[in-house]
Amino acid sequence: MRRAMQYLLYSVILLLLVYFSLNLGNFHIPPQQVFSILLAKVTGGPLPETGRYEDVVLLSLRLPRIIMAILVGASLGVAGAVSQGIFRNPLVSPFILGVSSGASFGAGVAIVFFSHIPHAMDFLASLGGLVAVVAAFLIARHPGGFTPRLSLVLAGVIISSFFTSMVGILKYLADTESQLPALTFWMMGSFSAIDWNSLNPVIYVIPVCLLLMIIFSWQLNILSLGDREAAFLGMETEKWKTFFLFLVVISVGAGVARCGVIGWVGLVIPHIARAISGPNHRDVLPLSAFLGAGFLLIADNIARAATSGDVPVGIITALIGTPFFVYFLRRREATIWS
Amino acid sequence: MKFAYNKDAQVLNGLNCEISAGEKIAILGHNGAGKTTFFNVVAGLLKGYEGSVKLDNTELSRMSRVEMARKLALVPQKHEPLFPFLTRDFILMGRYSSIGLFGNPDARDLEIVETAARETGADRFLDRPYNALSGGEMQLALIARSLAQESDVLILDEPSTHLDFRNRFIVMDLVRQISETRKITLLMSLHDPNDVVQFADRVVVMHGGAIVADGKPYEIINEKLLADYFGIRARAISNPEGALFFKALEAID
Repeated sequence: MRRAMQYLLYSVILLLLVYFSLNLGNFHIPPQQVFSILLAKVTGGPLPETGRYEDVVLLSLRLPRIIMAILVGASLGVAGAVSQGIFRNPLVSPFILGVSSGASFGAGVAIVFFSHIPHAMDFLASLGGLVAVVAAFLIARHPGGFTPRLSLVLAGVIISSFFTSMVGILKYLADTESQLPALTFWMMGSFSAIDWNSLNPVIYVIPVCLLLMIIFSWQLNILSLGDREAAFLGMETEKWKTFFLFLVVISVGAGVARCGVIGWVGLVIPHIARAISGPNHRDVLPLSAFLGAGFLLIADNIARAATSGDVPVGIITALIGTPFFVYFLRRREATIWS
Repeated sequence: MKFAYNKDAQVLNGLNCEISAGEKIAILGHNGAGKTTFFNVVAGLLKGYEGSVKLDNTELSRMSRVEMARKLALVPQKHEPLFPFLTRDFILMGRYSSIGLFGNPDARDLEIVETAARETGADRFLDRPYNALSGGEMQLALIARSLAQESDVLILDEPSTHLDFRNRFIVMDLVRQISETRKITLLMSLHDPNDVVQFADRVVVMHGGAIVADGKPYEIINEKLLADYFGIRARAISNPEGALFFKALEAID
């Protein structure tokens, strides 16, 4: 009951934020028109006479972009909380296993070599992310059939740095007029090119992954005790670790393949969630979803409204994220993590 | 039973040991004697052993983790969780093998947690974060969590290592009482022969991955054993009731 009320409150706040975001943009649409267009869409009635492109801007540009920001933000928040729980490390982000650098390499290959093929970017970025994570797993896997967490973290670092250098080679090869800016822009993360088409299949993949992680979130409490302890309590630790990491990679990878690398959300949001809800993952995960969604939506609002251009949202999240993290490190870490 | 981490490192060299229900067994051995490996095998964490380890006539390697958790509970030396779970939630994790997938405890699970907390004295700090407890309180909470597993066997890995003199006694005495009232088999690794004499009714002495002595503590532990296997010249002190105390005098090679 208490949880239900909280989720209701979070949902209302998020909806208000969505409405506010719909009103925001360089193309001015009066708030009452925003409301009537939305109302017409929801009820199926005729669109109000606006004369210009208000409905197109609102429904085809702003709305899909807002939905994408919410989905990606929620997935990064939850994936971050899950990763920190599994690796027992507060400095871990969902990109720890190399998914972002692998995806960057895939995207780079698409930009430099296959820019003429439609969907090459999505496909290669997803593939790159997946290959990186599988490689990290194979490197870390102990001959005895288990995967120690520290080995996984180290393998992730190795894989990340390998793919980062591969991206370096691509940058070196890229045409400086068009390809290099495209690759650089992609790696900073942005929602500027999002339309309804690009929401597919993200709009299904992320909610399913998040729901599964949230349903089984109690397992993370046990997993966070460490492999040995969890095993003694009766847990099949390898299975659960694989289950959660698989969902982390799929949900984060789906977003990265479409929107590029958006840092800091997965690192900072779980800390804020824990400060609000306490350590139980059954509370931390849903709250991280809401906070991540809200945070990334606000960051994207700033990205598209603060300047006349469209600043990559990854820059905004880093600008907000770093001081926030410093604040938490100094004010709360002492009581939260030690 | 034998166990090797790899071909060149045979850690357990043919152990043969039968344990009856309700026994309070201490495993005594210097560092590196194979105690921890032995525990890990018995607890089903290391499955690549040679020979046979049976629990109630079932081969360990055939049991699932849940089945094992219902029969065996482990109290680790020390546990520092990353997250400040409330002690109540921490003890509830002992019910993992019964609560299942979603973590919704029923009334019986909560009752078991309350009982375990009462028996160990952990009920005084149920609503404090586990991380904020003192060393002795943490050990009590760990024992309560193990009791919540409702297993037949309790394995204690050097239970008194991190405790001061008073808490050491409280913990060891509590474990002994629990074993007697709940009819739980105790398997504990201990460093101090004096603890063995005081709290165990059988001692298994390990050396170089093998069992070198097995029997009642006051019959097995003597000055010669301590000199041969622990490199300590000690003097045994006994009182009229027959209790023994070993005073270490000198380290010998």
